[in-house]
Order: sequence, then C-alpha cells, then structure tokens
Amino acid sequence: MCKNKFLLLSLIITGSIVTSCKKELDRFPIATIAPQTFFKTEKDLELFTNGFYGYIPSAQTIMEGDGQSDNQETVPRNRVVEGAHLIPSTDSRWSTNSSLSWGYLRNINYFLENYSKADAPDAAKNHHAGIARFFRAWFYYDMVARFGDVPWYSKTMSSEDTEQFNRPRDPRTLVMDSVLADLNFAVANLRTTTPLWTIHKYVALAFKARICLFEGTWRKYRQLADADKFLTQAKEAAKELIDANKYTLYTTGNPDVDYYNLFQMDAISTSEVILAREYRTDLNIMHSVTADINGGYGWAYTKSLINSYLMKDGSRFTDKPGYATMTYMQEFANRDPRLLQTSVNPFYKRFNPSNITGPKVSPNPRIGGANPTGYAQIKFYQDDPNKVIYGQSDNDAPIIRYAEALLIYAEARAELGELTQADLDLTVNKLRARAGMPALTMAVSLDPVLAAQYPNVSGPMKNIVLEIRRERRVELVSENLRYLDLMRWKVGALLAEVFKGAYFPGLGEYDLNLDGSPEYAIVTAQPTNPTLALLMLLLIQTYFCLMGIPAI
Amino acid sequence: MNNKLRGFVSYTFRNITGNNQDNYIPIFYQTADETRTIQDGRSGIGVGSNQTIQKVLNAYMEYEQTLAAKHYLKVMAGIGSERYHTESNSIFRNDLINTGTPTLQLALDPNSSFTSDGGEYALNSAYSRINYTYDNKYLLELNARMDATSRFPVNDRVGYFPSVSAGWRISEEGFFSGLKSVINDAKFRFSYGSLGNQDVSYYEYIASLRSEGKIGNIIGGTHPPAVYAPGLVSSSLTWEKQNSKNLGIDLALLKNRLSTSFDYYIRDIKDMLTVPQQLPAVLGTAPPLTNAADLRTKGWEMTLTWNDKFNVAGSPLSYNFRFVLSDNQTTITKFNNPNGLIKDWYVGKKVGEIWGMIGDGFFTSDEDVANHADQSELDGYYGFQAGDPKYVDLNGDGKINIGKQTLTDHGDLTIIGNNTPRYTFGFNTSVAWKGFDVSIFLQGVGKRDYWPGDRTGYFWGQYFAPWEQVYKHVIDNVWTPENPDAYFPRFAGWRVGDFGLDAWRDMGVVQTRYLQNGAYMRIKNLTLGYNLPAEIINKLGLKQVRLYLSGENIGEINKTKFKVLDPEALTSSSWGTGKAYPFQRTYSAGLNITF
Repeated sequence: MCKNKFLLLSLIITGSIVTSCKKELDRFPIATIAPQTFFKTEKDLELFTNGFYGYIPSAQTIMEGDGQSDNQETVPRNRVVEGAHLIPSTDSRWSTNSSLSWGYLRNINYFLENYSKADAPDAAKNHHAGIARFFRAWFYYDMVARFGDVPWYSKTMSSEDTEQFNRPRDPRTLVMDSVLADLNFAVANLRTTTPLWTIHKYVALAFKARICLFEGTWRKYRQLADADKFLTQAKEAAKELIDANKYTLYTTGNPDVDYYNLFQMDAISTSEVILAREYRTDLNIMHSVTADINGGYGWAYTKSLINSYLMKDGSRFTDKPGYATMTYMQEFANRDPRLLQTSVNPFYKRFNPSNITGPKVSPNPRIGGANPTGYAQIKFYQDDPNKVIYGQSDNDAPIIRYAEALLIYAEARAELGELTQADLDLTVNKLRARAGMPALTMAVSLDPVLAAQYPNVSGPMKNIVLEIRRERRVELVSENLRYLDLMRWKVGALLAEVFKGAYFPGLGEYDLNLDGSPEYAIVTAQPTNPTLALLMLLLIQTYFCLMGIPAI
Repeated sequence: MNNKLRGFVSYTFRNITGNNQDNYIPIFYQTADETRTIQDGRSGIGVGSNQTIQKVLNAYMEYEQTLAAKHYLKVMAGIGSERYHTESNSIFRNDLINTGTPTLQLALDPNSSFTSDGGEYALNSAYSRINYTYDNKYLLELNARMDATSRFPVNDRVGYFPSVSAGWRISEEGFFSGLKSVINDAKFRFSYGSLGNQDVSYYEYIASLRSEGKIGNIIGGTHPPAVYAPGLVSSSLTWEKQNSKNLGIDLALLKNRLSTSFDYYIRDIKDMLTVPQQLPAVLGTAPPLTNAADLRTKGWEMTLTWNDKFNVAGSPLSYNFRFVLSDNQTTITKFNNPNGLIKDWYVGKKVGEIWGMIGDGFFTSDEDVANHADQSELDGYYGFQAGDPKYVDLNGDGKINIGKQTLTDHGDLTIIGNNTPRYTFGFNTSVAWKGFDVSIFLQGVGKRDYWPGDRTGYFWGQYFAPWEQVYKHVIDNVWTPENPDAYFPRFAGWRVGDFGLDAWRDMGVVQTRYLQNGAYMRIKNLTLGYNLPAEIINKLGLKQVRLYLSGENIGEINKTKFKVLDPEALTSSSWGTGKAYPFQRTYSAGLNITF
C-alpha cells in the first residue's frame, strides 16, 4: 500500500507542477517588434511607410519598358506584343507574397488599420496615411490597367475570412472611384515639402493627373460612363500642379544636348522630375541599363516611332515625298533634335568600350541582331566607360516628370474639346521650345499618317489631339508609358502591325556612319571570308490583350 | 524480499559564447584591353558575438522490487524542466582604411549595418514508467509523460503522451521445450504509444512585425530601414502527436547462429504541424502554420543476422553477415482541400506522388502534329513540330492539358510514379581467417521514381539554358531527322525551367519519358586487412600490427539515364535537384601499429 500511495502522490505533485505553471512558460520575442509596442510615434509611422517605396519601378522597368509597345522591337520578342501571352500559373502581379502584388496591398492596409494609434499630431498622421493611400491608389491603378475588374480590399484578411477572399471581382467603376478617393485624400493631406524623392502633395497631384487621364480616355474610347468626370479631374490636377509653380522644364538653353543630358546625368533634375528612383554609386545602389543597351540582349526603336519625329522646321517627315524609302543614312538629317538624342544615328559617337583612350566612335547598330531594326536606344545611355559595366549605371529613373504633367493637361483639355492656343503655349510649346522646335498651333493640318494610326479619334479637335499624341510619344519615349497609352486609346491593333526597321533598297554595301567606308552588306549567301557584318531585317506579327488572372 | 528506492537530481547549466570576425578584401582585375582596373567587392569588417544559455533540471525517483523470485517491478517518476535563451549580435562596416588592419573604427563607411537575433523557449515535463516482468516470460512497460511548452498559446501548451509495450518470450514456456533445440529464442513484442512533436519556431503563435533591414530604394538621400506587417498566425496551435502501433517478433535459430527480427508498424501522425491548403492570392500572405493534417504510415522492417565459424586448413574461419530491409508508405488521412487540388495534399494521397503525362515519343512530322490531339496549351516558345514530345490524350477530349489540376479535373495528368524511397536495404558481411579479414558494406534503395526537376541543368543541358555546360549525354542524344530515336527532342534553349514554377510548358511537362528510375545500390565500404602473426611481432615488442586497404563509395548500380545524377544525392536546391557535392570515391591504405 505504501508504494501505491507514494506513486499516486508523486503523480499528483508532478502533474500539478506541469499544468499549473502554464503561464510561467510565457516567452515573448526578444529580437522582433511586437505590434502592441509599435505605432507609437511619428518615427514608427515613417519606418513603416519606408516599406512602401519598394513599389516604385526600377530603372530597368522604366528605361527598358517600351519593349512592350510599338516603340520598340526586342530580342527575344515580347510575348505580349507577339500575342503569345498565356495566363501564367504564377504572375508576380497576382500572387500571395510578391512585393508587387496582394502582399503589398496587405502591408498598406495593415498600416491604415493601425497608424491612428500613434501619439503624433493629426497632420503628421494624415501625411503618413496619405503616403499609404497614394501607394494603394497606384497599386490598384496598375491592377485595373492590367486585369480590368479586380476585387477591392481596404482591410487585411485572416485565413478565416473565406467569404472575403473568395469574392468575385468588383467592377472597375467601383475600384477607380476608390482609387480617386485615395488620391484625393493624399493630395489633401500630404505635406508639400519632404525629403528628396519621397511622396509629397505634388507627386500625388501628378499621379492623380496620370491616373485620371488613363481612366478618362479608357472610358471615352469605349463609350463607358463618366469619362468626362475623370478627364476633368485629370485636367484640374495637372492645372493645380502647373499653377503651383514648383516645377520647370530642365534646360541649359542648348537644345542639342539638354534632352539627352536630362536622362543620363548621375543626379536627375529636381526642377523637372517630380518623382524619381535614385541610384547612387556611393551607396552601391546601381542598375545596368547602360550595360543592357550596350550588351547582347537587345532592342531597338521601330520605324513607326522614328517616322513620328517632325522635321526641325516643324513640318512632317511623313509629308516629304519618298519618305518611306529614305535610308538610315538620309533620314536623320534636319529632324527634331530629340531624335538624335534618343536613337543611334549616323552622327552619334561615343566612347569605344574596347579602347577607351582612343577617339569616340560611331556604334554601328547590330541590325538584325541585338538592334533588330537598326535604331538602337541612346536615351538613358551613360557615355562613361565605367558605367558600361554591368551593374554600374547610376542615372536616376524618372517615374513622373513635369513634361508629362504638361502633356496630360493638354490632352485632357483637347479630349474635352476645351483646348486653346494659350493652353498649347503653356504646355506642348514649352516642350517644343526646350527641344529647339517651332511652336504647335491650333491651326495645324490633319496628319493622315496619325489619323490612320488612331482611327477612332474624332471631333473638331481631331487634328490637335493627334499632334498631342505625337508629342507625347516623342517626348516620353522609353519611359514605360507607351503600352498603356495604346490601351487607353483603344489602339492595341498597332501592336499587331508589322514592326519595321530601317529601310534598305536592296543588296549591296552600306556606309551607316557616313565615314566613307561601308560597314554592312546585305547579301544572299554568307561569303566565305566576310569582311562586313551581315544584315537582315526582321518582320514580326503582333497583337494585344488584357491579362488573365492565374487560377490561384 | 528486497527492494530499493533511489532518487536522482541533475541540473545542467550551459553557457556557450562565441565571437567571430569576418574580413572582406576586394579583388582588383584589369579589363581585357588593360585600360582600366576594376574593383570587385568592397573591403569591410564584420564582428559578431553570440551567447546561448541552457538550464536543464531533471529529478526522478525509482523504486525496484523483486517478489518471490518471479515478480520483478520497477517504478520510476520524475519531472524535468528546460530553459533556453540564445542571442546574437553583429556589426558590419565597409571601406577599411587599410585592409591590413581590419578594425571597426578604422573603416570609413558612414552606414554600418547591425544585425541582432535571439529567442527563448521553456519546457516543463513530468514522466513516469512502470516495468513489470513475470518469470522472465511476460514483460510489460507502461509510460506516461506530460509536456508543457512555451511554443504554443497558453491553453494549448500541454500534451499527454502515454505508451505501453508488452513482450512474451514464448520460448520460455513449458510447451515450447520440444522446439527449443531448433528455435533457441522466440519473443513476441507489441507496443502502442504516443510521442509529441513541437517542431515549430520559438514564437510561431505570436505575430511580430517584420523588419528586413534597409530598403532597396534610396529615399531622402539614404536607404533607410523599414518595418512590415506581420504574417498571419494561428489562434490555436498545439502538439503534433505520433501514435504508433508496432508488432514484432525476434527469433534466434540454429544454435543462435541465425537471428532475425521482423516488425510491422502503423504510425498515425495526428494534428501535424504544417502549412494548410493554399488560399487565394488576394489574402496577401501565406496561411498560418496549423495542426492541419493527419497522416498514416504503414511499414515493416526486417533484420537477418548470421554468425558462424568453421575450420579451413586447420585454422578457424569466422564469418557473418547482416541484412536489413525495410519499407513504408504514407497516406494523407486528413487535410482540408475542398477543391481537391492535386498539388496540395488531399485525403488518400500517397506522399511522394508524381503527377504527369504519359509520354508517347516524339512527333514524326507536321502531319503527325496536326493529326494528334491539340498540345498548344503546353507550348513553350517554339510551337510543336517533328521531334517534339508527344503526349497521350488520356481523357480523349482532343486536347492535351492539365485541366484545373484538381482530382475531378486533371486533364491528361495521371499519377506516373512516386518518389518515396521503397525497399531500402543494407548488407554487410565480414570474413576472417588466419589474420586476414575482408568486410563489405552495401546500401541501396529498391524502388523509387524521380523527376529531374525543371531547373536541373546537369540533366537537361542546353534545353535548360543556352549557357549550361555542353554535356556529352545531351549532345549525343539529340533528336534530328536523321536520329529520330534520340532520347532528347529537337534542340533548342529555354525549353525547360524558363516558364516559372509548375508551368507545364514544353519540356517542363512532367512525363514518363524523362521520369527516372531512382533505385540504386552502392558499395559504401570494402576493407581488406591483415594482422601480422603474434609470434613475429611479439619479438619486436609490439602488440599488434595491421595492414589494410579500404575503399569508400567504390562502385554503384545507378539506374538513372546516362548516370549523370547520383540517386543518393537528390537534394533540391534553387538550381534543381542533384546539384549536390558528390560522394567521393576514397581509397586508403594503412598500417596500424599498437605498442
């Protein structure tokens, strides 16, 4: 008996020790931040909003983004332009954890659920909420532009919220109204001066103008409701930005280099650029765009883009007799100076990466190869031998700049049928002046080439709408805007056209850089001892679509 | 009558501290034209320290009694407690003034980086055991333990884990005496028991804000740190239990020369701590780890040992061998997967299942492509032509596809194999005679399927990426109109591994043609030895002199195609399976002298 009692007693004692001390076992993280201890000060809010900036596109995305448009032909071919985009099983824009997708939205919504706990002045709290809502608006704008209708979420969900996360898409009208509400909050509450390249009131205004112009034109060209509401919002946002007198176009008064320099300087102009993604050698945050342009993977501008540049005197290249059969060696003469600062051309010379102490040379385009059309990009190219190396470029990526705000204002006014010569002088003609080009007037004649490209433009201001589109294409080329321009104008068919390259009349030898000796030959069979690079032209079929949502 | 009561207390205090320093030195190199010197990397110094404190207390009492010679009883009960704390800190600073004096203070970078980590856990336990033996024939053991851990929420902390095992030595029974000359010893064993698993991170149930250090953007002229929303945690999280039933028999036969044992077991894992079913992406974060699954494993294990010696040429030759063979298979018995997604676990799924298409060789011509079911949903970059893989239209709908990848709609997918190693075996034997000895150890897997994986460049060569090495097994086996029976299809880059995970495009389609037989056998060790006779070495004043030759991993039977992958090293990494440090063939010869 004695032993049974002992056994029972010991079981009771040990059992009670284990179970009664459950609380005593509490252990809390010692190296991470508990939510209860955060959101106390404005500094906490700032720490959290810092995490939103990862959404800002990289230099590659901006500077190489026109690969998915009719501005560029790429190697390998862009799947969307080719019409071969299939719904992928995973899409970085539609995934759980991607920094560009729903995980990003959840982070913003989590902040918006918690920021008001901070012990800070309302203005400070609202400023940070403004940053969060600005990025949420940007996120949803990207989602709507890519997928159309998407579900709108303004709260975080738990794994039990089955009904919420299995909800169908919301109509784009609902989503875009919410986007507009976010933008209005941001504009109303963001501070006007903040540290360099952070979000402030004017960034929000510029984005509001961009997003509302997108939505207004998308609806107008699809006969959807409330197109004018968004066009008006776009117009007003752009005008408020212009009237604030915070920004001016970058210029040193030298139209032959200003445009080029704006995009290749180490530190981009803060007078023109409203938001940029900064790159700096001393912080070891650099990109590879110069190396990409110089390197093996490649792309080049299409003939259709090159043709859209006017002559230096303001007349149209496409009005010149025989323009269609003008060769690479001829077509760059007396053109809009921005053309010579955007594409490789016979007059362009740069450091020879394989002999940097030697004279600058003409980089012959690798036609048919890395530069399929012949018109290799030089916008954003840093002509510095140290920056041609992969991962060594440090020019900042312009995310949105004043030039675009001017073009938004002009386009919105024109689409609303309200545009005046004064508006043109305030906007497009400022860009023309910086580029050394004559002014655009309301009386400009209708361009049949543009009219054919954009057949759905109508109304009394058709001529001027088309010219504003030309100006926009030229000024903002390679800034990752063209694809969505085509989408909102409902001219995706332009992607299905055969992309053309430089014109060559036939077999023979060609002196591309006009130095007196030929660099290229077009031949029918490979010579046994070729002395010149071989040339071929690519013809590519293309079309477009909205993106499908992956199954999960 | 004699009995004993004993008590034991042990307390362990462990304090482990460590310091480390890393120095970074940049490498300079010249461009091919020797016009520029480029610096790769930056100089820097990292200094770190870490400390771990572990306190373990164990106290138990034991009571032992033998009654009337035939009854033996032992009772034990105790408590234990463990407290664990670990932390580490490190500082890193770039741009040393002089790489010869790497010191934090003598570096220039104004942005030093700091990292800290740490965690704690606590565990309390109580346990008891009763052993009872009657007449050395009947054996019984009862175990009970209770554990409480800090890793689970306060109401889910305690787990109870009882177990019982019983043995019957039938060979000791009177009725067995007639058999005892043949079966020298026989014992039946049975056990039923429960074990707990708390293998989750220290704070799995607590939501913490995440900080990943500096952001990648430059804002305000610097790149500041940021804090991010916590992931989801489960409101209830508790012990995973493994309940095992085991039935075994041990036999010794033929004058104890042959001994064998056989076990059959069923292991049920209840409330497995695992990631639950996938949820829609719009949730924005991974679903939290929960007690999401039940699994059942059925298996068996067999051991055969033989020991004997006899005389050869007047000297004893002793030899033995041992053979072990085992097998098991696991089935999912509970998992919430309402849509029946085949990528996830579902009830009835066998762990290791490989879903894929049935390969039907290559297309022979464009007409063949046109006449075959439409494969365009599986297109990669090049469309389908002669020389491209062709698949069987299992559901006969005129299209080759993967459906919705669910149990009800899986298109032309079917289960084509299972990557669980089956029939794993080991065999060793040794023979000794007159100072000579030989031993050999073999090991292997009897049955296994293996899919190379779409990033396994070692296997796919240029089909994976044009920049892969040019492998002979690829180059020699490429389809051409002249070589229509080749193993690999029409030659092109980016045909596999370039479409993202689980993409089912082009050669990324899992299919029978490239499914590998992962069965193998390897000679892990072979040793030849000779001990010099005692009478010779004693004269030299030595105790033992041994000469030997030994080889490790000296040969194998590898059933994978072209034998480019090692079936024993199929570990996965982001660059596919098989990119593991290879097993080395090692040969050694030696001389051991004992004085």
